[in-house]
Amino acid sequence: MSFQSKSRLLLVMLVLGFVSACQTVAPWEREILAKDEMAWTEDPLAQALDQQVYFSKEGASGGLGSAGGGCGCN
Amino acid sequence: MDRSAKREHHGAPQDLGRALVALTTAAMALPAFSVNQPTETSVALRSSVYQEDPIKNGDETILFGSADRYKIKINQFYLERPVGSDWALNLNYSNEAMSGASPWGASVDSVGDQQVIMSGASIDDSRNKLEGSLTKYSDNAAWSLSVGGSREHDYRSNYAGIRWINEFFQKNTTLTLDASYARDTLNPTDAVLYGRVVKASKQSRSLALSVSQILSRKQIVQMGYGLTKRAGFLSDPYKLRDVRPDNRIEHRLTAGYLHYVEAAASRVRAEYRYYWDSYDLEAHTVEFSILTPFLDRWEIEPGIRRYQQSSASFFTLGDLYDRPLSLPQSSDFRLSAFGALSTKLAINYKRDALKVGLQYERYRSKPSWGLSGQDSHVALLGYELLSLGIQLKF
Repeated sequence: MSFQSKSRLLLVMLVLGFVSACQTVAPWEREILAKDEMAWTEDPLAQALDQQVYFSKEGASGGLGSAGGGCGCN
Repeated sequence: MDRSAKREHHGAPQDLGRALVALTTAAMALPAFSVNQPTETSVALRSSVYQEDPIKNGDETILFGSADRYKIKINQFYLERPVGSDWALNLNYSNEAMSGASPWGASVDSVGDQQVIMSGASIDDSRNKLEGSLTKYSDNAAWSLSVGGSREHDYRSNYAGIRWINEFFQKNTTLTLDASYARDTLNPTDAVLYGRVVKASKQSRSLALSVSQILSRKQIVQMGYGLTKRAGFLSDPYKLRDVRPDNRIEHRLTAGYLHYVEAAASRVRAEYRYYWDSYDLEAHTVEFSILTPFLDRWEIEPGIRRYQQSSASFFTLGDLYDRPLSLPQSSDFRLSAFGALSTKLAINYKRDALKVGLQYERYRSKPSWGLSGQDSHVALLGYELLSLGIQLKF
């Protein structure tokens, strides 16, 4: 099995492990989940800047969501 | 009525009160990409300075040009505003002013050591980017349309995207679908003088799917897959001998995990991305941070990011002038095998609806940290990034 195949398999196993462990959380039990720091995009400007820097300086790019426009930096 | 039933009866109003508070707070929750309309207007400003390290041992490794690399000043603005009862508007603007030198080409000497040809330090450019999105919210779903554009004196990019978000299973599961299209046009400076392409374009089409799942009242996980197809002129017009395939198909698998540790009031965040593309470039990215409050209104968040990539199939340490232009080649360090380590520290001050944050990042890269090969590119990057941001909700 190639390194690439092993990586994908590991990720799939990780995902299945997490999903099988989940439980239903009622809306009134989400006080902690409602905190700002539990949002994936807590600071949109910091996230946009990070993505722009890594996009222009590394071979790989992109993360969650679709790609925006390009720039002359890459 | 027995005693336990009485306790339950007397406790009911308090429980109901707590439940209402929790429900109100939860209504504003953003567990992932959210289908909840924002209830407040948010404004954010951010100023950053990005400074690349000069090339090491420049006297020995630079054939021509300056060892001093890019310095970029970045200013950003963000606005999110609810519109009516079902809509929200987002605006995002950024301006970058950059100066410094960048690699133009590379050669390998008789003992196999690489030397680079740099531009002069007089490159000056600026970039302005503006994007806006409009989102329509309904009970368990949201639709969003985004348009944007970016302008440099030699580069233009226009793009549009749509996003659909839907929540399932009592809002425990959130599914997000993204699609976008971008068209970029290049007009390189001094094209005729240096024999560069005079005008070229490229298109990018992108699709992404992600699922966010609440695992417990303190844990959320997110998984995603993204596909991007780029077509057109994908080479770097400023490099002396850079010929890349005119199609690039990129795949990425992502996973994220958020965990709130009640005992320390801390939030742990972990993210992983696996990337592979049709250039045979493969990359792993792992990021980890812990956010902890201190002294009532302050937060500190140390973080670490580890990145590893393999080289593209057509990467060459030195430019090959005897290879025909019909065959791909590039000595761009971004296509070489390398790894990088970022260390980050953020300190935030929060007071009511105001948040002020200072962030610092130190990025270092080495060939030996990469996934494969010993490319030893001398232009591998190190940089420092310092940012000051302010957010206000009203």
